[in-house]
Amino acid sequence: MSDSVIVFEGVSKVYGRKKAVDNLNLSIRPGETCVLIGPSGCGKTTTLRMINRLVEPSAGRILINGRPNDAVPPEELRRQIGYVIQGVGLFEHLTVAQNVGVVPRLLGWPQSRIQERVEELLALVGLEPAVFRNKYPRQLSGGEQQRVGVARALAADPPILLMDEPFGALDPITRERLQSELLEIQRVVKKTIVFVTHDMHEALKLADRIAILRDGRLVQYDTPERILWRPADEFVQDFVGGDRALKALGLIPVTRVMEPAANGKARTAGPTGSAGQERRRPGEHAEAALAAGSVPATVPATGTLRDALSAAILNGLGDTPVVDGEGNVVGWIRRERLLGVLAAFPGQEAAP
Amino acid sequence: MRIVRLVGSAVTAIVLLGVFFRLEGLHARILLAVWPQYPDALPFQGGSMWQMGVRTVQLVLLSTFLCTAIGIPLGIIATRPRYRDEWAPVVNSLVNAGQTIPSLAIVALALPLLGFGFVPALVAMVLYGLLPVLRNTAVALENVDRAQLDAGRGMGMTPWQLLWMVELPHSIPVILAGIRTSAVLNVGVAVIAGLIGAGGFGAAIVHGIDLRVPPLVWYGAVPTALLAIILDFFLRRLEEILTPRGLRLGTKRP
Repeated sequence: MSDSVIVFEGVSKVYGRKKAVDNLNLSIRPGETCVLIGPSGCGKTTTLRMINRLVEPSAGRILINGRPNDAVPPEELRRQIGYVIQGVGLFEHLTVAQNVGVVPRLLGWPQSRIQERVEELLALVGLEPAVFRNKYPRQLSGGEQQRVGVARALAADPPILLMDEPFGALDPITRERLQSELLEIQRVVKKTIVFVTHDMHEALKLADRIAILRDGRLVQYDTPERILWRPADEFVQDFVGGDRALKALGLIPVTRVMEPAANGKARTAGPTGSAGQERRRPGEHAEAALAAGSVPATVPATGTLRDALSAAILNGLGDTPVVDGEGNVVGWIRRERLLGVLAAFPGQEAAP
Repeated sequence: MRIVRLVGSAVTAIVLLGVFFRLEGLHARILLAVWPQYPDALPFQGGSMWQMGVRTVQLVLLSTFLCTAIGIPLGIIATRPRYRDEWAPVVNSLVNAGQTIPSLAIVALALPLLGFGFVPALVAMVLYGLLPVLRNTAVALENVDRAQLDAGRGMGMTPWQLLWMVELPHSIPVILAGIRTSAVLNVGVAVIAGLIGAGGFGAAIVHGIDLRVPPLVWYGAVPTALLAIILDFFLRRLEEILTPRGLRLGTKRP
């Protein structure tokens, strides 16, 4: 408890007669991504906005690094907490660089340091500084805008990042990409992230811990695995969906069931690459497919068990190649191992 | 760069007007040639075109300046969260009521209350021209993108910083349009103010109507129209130049 970065202690927020948040107790650990999720009106955004005091709680208190968050003026508090919202809210009259530099400027950093930091952050979020520095928000795509939004939130290197449905307005492909990039960025910056979404897929992908809210109450606060395998009640079960077992497979890296390709002799899983290469003893089905010049369904090495199952089904549950970024086969999914792992699941994976 | 273009536009406007006003002899000759039946109409006894022009420009610039100096702060105050609930309806009804009153009535009311001359005319013009500035300021501030306000607040801007760094830059085009409306309106009121002895082109026009002398009316009306057009042109340029670059991209403003 004491090493938690953010602690909600009996926090409630009442609007008129409606309790938006009802006696919430929640502690968020340093460096973790905590996803707040629930149906519309469950109080997740209110909960998030109480952390940086855009909303003041009606009862209870919120500790940040052990200190009540109302111990300092709200503006001072907010400058130490990154904030990313769905609408992005880039200042349209400022350039990308000026947008990213807003908080450092509020904090009175010298110009040279701001400039340095801006370059660093644009590179971090995958925007070439030379190209984007002097552009204006209206010249950017939605995905680029939100990248700038993330860079802006990270500008003063705050230990905490609040993200309110940051990818909600993006098209599915861009959303997926930004989620992956966020994971990459998080690996570098190791912030404590509080992330609001209503998309379970997004929650499972990003969260270290998921807090499921309903009518302002915390229903379950757990790791994604435990949420899927051990839903606290019927509501959670319904909320995660009937395919929760498949979703759970999506949390397990494919490498867990992969049989590595022997001798590291990588082969290309396409008709062209296979010609003339030494033949190991891969599964018959895939081998036949390779020989016939057709491409069997493959799994990327970065994929999940869910991807592996999908590809295996496409291959008639035959052996399925696992490929790296260049299309080299790095291993195989075998039917027996796959089925064995699947059969053993609920018992094994329920452990935290 | 911007400042150069700004000064360039201002100089062009002033030179155009100055030259036109200085050519009063030519104007008089043309008007007398068109209306030979009024040989004594010009030169106007109330003052030269230059003097009337200077007086009219004084009235218009001074009143527009005062409208801006009063209207923008009032618009800002009316839209602050603390006052918005009480003030927004007041501003609204004031603006609506104000626009239904003819400028002639405003000037007529100024006479018994404030008397004759420059200052009463100025007061009437400020009262009348205040409304477009106030309305546009309030509307512009009310319409600043919520996401940007939320982001600014969430990033730790104080209310003043939010106003200065986000709300006002976004409102510049609409506020300037209000100032332009007010200025052009004030040219018209300045003429009517001739009725209460404010001088300027209004004097020639009022006199000309009184005496039923068309060339005298034209002698005041043409430079007044020119003043309004040039002022409008200059203030449009000002809007273009002062609108932040990032806001001019993409969407076009009508």
